Amino acid sequence: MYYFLIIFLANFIFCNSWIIDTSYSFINYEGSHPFHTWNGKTNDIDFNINCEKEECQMSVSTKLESFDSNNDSRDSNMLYYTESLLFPFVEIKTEYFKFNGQFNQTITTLGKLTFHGISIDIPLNIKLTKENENYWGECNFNINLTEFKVERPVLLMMKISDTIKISTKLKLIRNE
Amino acid sequence: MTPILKILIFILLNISFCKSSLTNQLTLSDTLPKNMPILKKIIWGNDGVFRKSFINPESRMKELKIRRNMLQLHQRLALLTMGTLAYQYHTGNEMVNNPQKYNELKNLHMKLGYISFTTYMGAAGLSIFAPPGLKYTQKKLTSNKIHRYLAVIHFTGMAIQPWLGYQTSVAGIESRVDDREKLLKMHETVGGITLTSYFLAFLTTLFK
Repeated sequence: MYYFLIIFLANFIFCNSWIIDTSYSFINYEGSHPFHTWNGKTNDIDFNINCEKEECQMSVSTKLESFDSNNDSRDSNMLYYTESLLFPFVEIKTEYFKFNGQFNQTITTLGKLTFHGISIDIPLNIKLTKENENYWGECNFNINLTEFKVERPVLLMMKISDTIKISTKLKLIRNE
Repeated sequence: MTPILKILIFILLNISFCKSSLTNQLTLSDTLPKNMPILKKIIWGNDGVFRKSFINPESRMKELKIRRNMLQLHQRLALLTMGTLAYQYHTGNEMVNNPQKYNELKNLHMKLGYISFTTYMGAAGLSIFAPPGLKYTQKKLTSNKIHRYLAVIHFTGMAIQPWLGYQTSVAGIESRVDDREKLLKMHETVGGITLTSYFLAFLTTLFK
């Protein structure tokens, strides 16, 4: 009986207070090459937030395979260089940060980004906004491929830029 | 708990973990895209021609590395071909516009033809025979699909251009003036279409 009570309480405490609407949420990466830039986008996002009182920890992950840059050869190349058969997911997990349910603020925290089997702490500025009863969370940051030991692809005998710009916009829905 | 029971539990746990690690390993069918182009299916599908030959790398990782190297070489050869084709097109135009230069440029035009044909077919072969990638889109119109559609046009052009060039030259030697004019016009038109489609195909690699 006590076990059920503990499980119930733990579930109640750790349950997701927010979920995302994946049809409006996206993660986008932008790569560049001396001749052009391109974007790869995904809506296939797994989102979790655990809050204890006003202390929250958030994790966002997606399958590398789900990124679409509108060019299957480029996507295929990206999957090869990121060794997606060995490391199929990219995930970011934040440290605990203070969130009191208030929007129109920017939260500064650290996020552990796990990509290509390597985890690196990245400073994050999460911008929370409320527009017409819609809640949004936005976060942009850059990563360097060499830091994650990803070999840089070559197009027309020139390597792509080491920096990849990541932009994320999530439509948040209160889970009531 | 009796020792026999402990051993039994240990064995059962061992078997169950072994099983899960085996099922976690990816098989070839897991990583071959279901919607890969028909030509890739024939060559590199589960029962493809190369699968039964010594060419089969027997490891998807090795296969992808081979694909990467083949496509890198494809790009280099394709760039070389584009330069050669442009120069050959220019010499061809000079031969038509300045008949006094015809004899001077004839050999150069022909030699450039041998070079461009060889590098072109090499580049085409590297792309056609490369092992399949990890993803093929269902979308009808992407830059890569346009690249492939244009390839059908310039491949056809490249396949018939040497024959047209040869026939034009023979008609000239045999003094068949009307035939030569017709063949020359065709050779010129096909050359223009081939070079244009080839250049457009190159541009598609730079699309967003």
